Amino acid sequence: MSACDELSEQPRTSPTRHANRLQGRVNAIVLALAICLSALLALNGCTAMRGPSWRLTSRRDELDILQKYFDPRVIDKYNNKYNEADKRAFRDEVINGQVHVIDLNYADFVHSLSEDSSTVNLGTDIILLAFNSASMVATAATPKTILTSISAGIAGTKTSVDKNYFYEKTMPALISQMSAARKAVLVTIRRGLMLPTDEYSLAQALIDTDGYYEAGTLLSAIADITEASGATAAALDDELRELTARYQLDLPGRLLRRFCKPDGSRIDPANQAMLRKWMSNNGVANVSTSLFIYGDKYSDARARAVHDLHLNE
Amino acid sequence: MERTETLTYVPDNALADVVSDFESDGAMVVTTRQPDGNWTVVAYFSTMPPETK
Repeated sequence: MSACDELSEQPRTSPTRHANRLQGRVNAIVLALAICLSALLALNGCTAMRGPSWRLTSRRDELDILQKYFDPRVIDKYNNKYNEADKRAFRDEVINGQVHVIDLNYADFVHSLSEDSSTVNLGTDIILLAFNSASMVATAATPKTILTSISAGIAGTKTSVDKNYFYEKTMPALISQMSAARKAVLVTIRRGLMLPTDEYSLAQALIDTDGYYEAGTLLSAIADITEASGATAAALDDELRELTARYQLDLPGRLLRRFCKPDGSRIDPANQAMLRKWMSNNGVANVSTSLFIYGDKYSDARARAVHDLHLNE
Repeated sequence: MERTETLTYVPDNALADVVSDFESDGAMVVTTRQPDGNWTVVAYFSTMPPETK
């Protein structure tokens, strides 16, 4: 048998068989990956689902007991108290009960936003995408369709990672803002409870507990952060609007003035544009060239400008 | 956006140059004599400098 015959004897595989083989291998890989991720999720999920083990009563039972403090009739009961001592004791009990309920809910809320929770979400997303890709691959007819399915899975996974990454990075800032805002309202409540009822009535205290609840919401935290950044921007705008410096004409200042006004009275537009460009590139763009030349606070920058523009040669 | 720049302790002999330079930058300038004899120059600009617009 010649070499040519040997070669011709080897089994020929059609493109369809190639596709089937490739499909089988890819199926096996994707399914193995999905199983591994499922196992990881199961382990990780256990951590996320684990609640505080020290509680003797369930959260539901605890909240049921405290429900009485949210009865709309508390105001009537309060008004029916005849002496200050009873009124004050009743007010304090209702407000402390409400604050406790709000604290319990807030603790659950923050727990649900915890890092473990977002990790589980990421794991769930990836597994979902892996199974979707696996099912698409299993029904795909051509290698091109198989590869398209895999790339869709990878792209989807990346989107999921990005989304969860930003969630993970943003949430601590929002939780921190909520905690700070809650403390501020709680101080108001605690101070109020030290006052007699004619100075801090139950109605006023109930309004403050509503504020305490609101301070622990994401919407409130986002609004507070937006407001704070707006105030900072406004302060910076004011700073930009009003610049003050003390007169100090040094050698670099003289050189720069001669550079901008070579004849002492008329501006050389090209030179002034060069100086402005230098100022813009060196963090002094918000100042006029005049204040830059004469202001004491710009003396170091002037010296650097003279050096960079080669004006002292 | 309107903004102001204030230069304090400008001596007599530099006042004309300082005022002229601020006006060349497009400002409306107001000068005030300080108790120590120097000048305070306040330049009012109607816009930000060119590179920050």
